[in-house]
Amino acid sequence: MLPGDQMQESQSLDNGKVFEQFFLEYHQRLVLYALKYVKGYDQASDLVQEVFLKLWENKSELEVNRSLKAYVFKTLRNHCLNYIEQQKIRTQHHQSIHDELKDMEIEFFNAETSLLQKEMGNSVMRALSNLPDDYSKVLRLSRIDGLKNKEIAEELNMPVRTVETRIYRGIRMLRDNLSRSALLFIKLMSSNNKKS
Amino acid sequence: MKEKQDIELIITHFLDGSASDAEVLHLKEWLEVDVNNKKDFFHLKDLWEASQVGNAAGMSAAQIAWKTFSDKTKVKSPKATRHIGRRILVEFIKVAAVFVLAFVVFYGIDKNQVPVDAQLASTKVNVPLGSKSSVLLPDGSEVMLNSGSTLSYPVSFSESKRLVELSGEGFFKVAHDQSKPFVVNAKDMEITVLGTEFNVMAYDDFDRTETTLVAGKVMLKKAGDVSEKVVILKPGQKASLKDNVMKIEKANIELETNWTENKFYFESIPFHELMARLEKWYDVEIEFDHEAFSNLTYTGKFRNEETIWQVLDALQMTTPVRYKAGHRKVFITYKK
Repeated sequence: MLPGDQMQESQSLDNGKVFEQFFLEYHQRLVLYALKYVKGYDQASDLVQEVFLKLWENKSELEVNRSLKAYVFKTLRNHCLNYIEQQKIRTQHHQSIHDELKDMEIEFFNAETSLLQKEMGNSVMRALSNLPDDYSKVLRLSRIDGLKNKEIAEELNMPVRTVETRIYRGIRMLRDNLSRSALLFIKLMSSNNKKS
Repeated sequence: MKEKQDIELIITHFLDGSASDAEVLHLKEWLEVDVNNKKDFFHLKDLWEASQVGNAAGMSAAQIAWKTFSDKTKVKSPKATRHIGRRILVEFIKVAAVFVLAFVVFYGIDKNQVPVDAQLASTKVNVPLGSKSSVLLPDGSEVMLNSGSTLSYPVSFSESKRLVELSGEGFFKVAHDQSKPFVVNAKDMEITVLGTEFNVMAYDDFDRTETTLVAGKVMLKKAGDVSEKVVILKPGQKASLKDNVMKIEKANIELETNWTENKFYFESIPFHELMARLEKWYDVEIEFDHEAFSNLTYTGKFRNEETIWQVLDALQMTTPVRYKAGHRKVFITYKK
């Protein structure tokens, strides 16, 4: 039931049910993606709604397929960038360090593709469940259950520092595993037990 | 070295949203020092964000957003959802609960389609081949179901006991209730527990039925056995019933239960059993000459990350076999 690869391809978006399914499946990923550009969940969510409205207007011409998915991410990105531009004009650049970091990130993702765009959600989840328990437990509480490090420390009855170390190492292991996931993790040994 | 540890800590704080202004400033300076730092950090941050996909909060947010959106656009719901009765709605909520639970427990697994046959008194959960699922029972007990398994249980349990029926493989976490024993009917085995964790393997196409106890205490008997002959299992033990003979042995818990973590470890299992497992995991049909492979046993481990072809390639490297692929079907031949 994870998002990704679930929706049958080439269904017309003009079907209410197909549209709803597409919406529910991509909403979260798109909001997370928008958060790379804008600050605040509400803002990101509004921008995503606007992109879906655009899709809605053209739904009779659209089909669910790879290029639609790519198109949605691209449209959202442009939409976010426009929004940022408008904001900048409005507020005259009075930038905080956070804004500068955001700018740096936006610039970085001009050239890089996000895992969200690559539909890597499933692989990330799978890699997560394959981490050693100590790490996967902490990361699950953080990423899936949405707990803060301090809350995880209370929940697991361990120092915050330990949680932080595990989070850091865990996320790094996750990344290493993902980049290695193309490699086969199987070691089959066969033995020829001749009984007769 | 100190420096490196500091930045690791700051990154963790930043991702968690708990970084102080000083830490953010430090981070920014560190990022500006080296392009590789930027690359490293933004990739980590990206992964951090992507790993939230499947997060329950995000999913319910999507539902709410859809509500807003459809109000705005007046999307007509399909007729079917309008005419469903209350009972089906209850069933739907139950299925939804299964899905949500499946997210939490099994977010590593691709698809969980769990058709529920809504009947008056009992509910049946079918897990298709190639997928896994998790079910929350009315008493709060949890069952994870392996590929190609079926679990039937009443909508509400009776006064005296909690009776479920399993075909296939399931890992049970039974909620404790001294007054209402929990009974699993699995093929030819009847398992009675009060509150505990255990794995039951009762696939129809396997020659035996197995129960492995992780914690607590369970009582076993052969199905239909009216005598008082029962076997009490201790944690770490496995009971295996084959040809009407019950055998107790020390269990390798990890080996028996790691399918729930999407891994598959196996030790000295015969070829046909490995093939039967692969068929279920990957929803393919494998054909081979049973005679030719009767002497082979396998030990190994893999995670459900590989494709069936990668597994078969590995098999080909270690055993003198050749495989041929058809549509959802594989033919394996022994090469002398």
